[in-house]
Amino acid sequence: MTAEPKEPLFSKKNMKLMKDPLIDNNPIAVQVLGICSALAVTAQLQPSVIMAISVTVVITFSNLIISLLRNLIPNSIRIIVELTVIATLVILVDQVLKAYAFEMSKQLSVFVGLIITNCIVMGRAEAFAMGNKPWPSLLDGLGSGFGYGVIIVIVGFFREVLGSGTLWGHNIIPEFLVNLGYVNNGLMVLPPGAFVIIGLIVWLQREKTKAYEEH
Amino acid sequence: MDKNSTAYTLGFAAAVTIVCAILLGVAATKLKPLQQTNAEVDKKSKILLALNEFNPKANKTDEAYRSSEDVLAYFDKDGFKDKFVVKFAVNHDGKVIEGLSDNELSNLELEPQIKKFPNEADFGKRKYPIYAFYASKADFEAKKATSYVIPIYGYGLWSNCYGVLALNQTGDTVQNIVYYKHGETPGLGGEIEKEYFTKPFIGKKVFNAKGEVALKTTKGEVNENTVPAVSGATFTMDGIDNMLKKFITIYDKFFQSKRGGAQ
Repeated sequence: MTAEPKEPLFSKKNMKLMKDPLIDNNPIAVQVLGICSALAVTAQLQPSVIMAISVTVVITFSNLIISLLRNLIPNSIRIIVELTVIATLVILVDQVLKAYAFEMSKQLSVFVGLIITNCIVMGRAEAFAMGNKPWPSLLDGLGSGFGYGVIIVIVGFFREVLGSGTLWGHNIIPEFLVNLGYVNNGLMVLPPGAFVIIGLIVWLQREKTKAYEEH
Repeated sequence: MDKNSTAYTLGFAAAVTIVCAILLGVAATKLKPLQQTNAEVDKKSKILLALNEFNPKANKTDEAYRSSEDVLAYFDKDGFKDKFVVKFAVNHDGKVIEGLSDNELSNLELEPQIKKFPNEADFGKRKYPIYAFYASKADFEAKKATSYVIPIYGYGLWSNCYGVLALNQTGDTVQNIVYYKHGETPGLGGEIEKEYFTKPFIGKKVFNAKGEVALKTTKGEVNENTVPAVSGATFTMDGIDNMLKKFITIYDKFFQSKRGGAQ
């Protein structure tokens, strides 16, 4: 058996792993995974960003760890092992947030814990990390995390601006507009507002990639 | 070694569990002091918020900005810029309970006290926490509080709502009210945490002309005892009315002595 030529760290194939989930194969907009938290935490920009970072950290490390263990994990209990690794990482993130970003952890409340059930994390561990080497798995995790993060940050941006008239907690609607009768759109504060924005993003995204599903 | 044998599977599962457990155990222990401080600052800042001494929106450069250290300093023996908040406890007859240890006092919460002694015969065993605010050290030494903060809680529509109510030194005028924890519907009952709901409480009289507790929300015209209710949140509003009446009645036995029998 001849040794395969060593693949460069940022080869085209590896970079594709990172870029694909951003647009072409976005976890939320194309695979329609992780919608629950995308509705729940995106009423404002700041929690969206924290959530995006948390999910990215969890996916990246769960992919890396699962991939490192992939040849050791007995097939019959692989799902539960994946879940244990993910749950451990999520609780670590939760503990760190409680210690260093208390306000945020209060706002995100149960949704940090619910990263465990975020289908993206489990999906990537099972579908990719179980069958690939650590480095590509790590890149795949980063890419999926960013793909998720990009969408919820966009949703969070529009929901905060349109729903509360603020950005990152700062007022951005000029006084004279309010005096002219401008009112914030209450729908945007509620979860259905996120559906509207995610719907628009999906529409835009499919227009661009022309990846229609034939029925 | 056979990766699919039962022994290997069991061993692997045990190893994963142990490693994860140790990791989490270490993390939880190391981070615990920080987390506890955070929770404490958070709770105390709500009391300061009710006293108008804390503005969560203030920027770091603002006069009104309070860091975590500042918040804790209010409750310290030196106070913050001479301003003091002192926690103490009163019994069901409104008498101040003396001789509680610092530890017992700082862990004293309203809800466990109510739940621990639910029967009227045991009301005498309850210790109700209450906070006194002094504007200066001289006031503190003269025991002349500017205002008092009492915790309140009660069931709304879905959940217990927790808040603090700041009253003036004679306990008959509202200085502010803050709801800091609830699980009510966002946009409806959840509006109780918003300033537009709590602001009208400021300056309201607790008692009506007959001396009854009359502070509550109303759907009609407001008077000196009532504030506008949030529409679409009837059950939450009922809960608020109930808890105001319940806890003002309880704590009023303490305030009666402050009013010197005027009522």
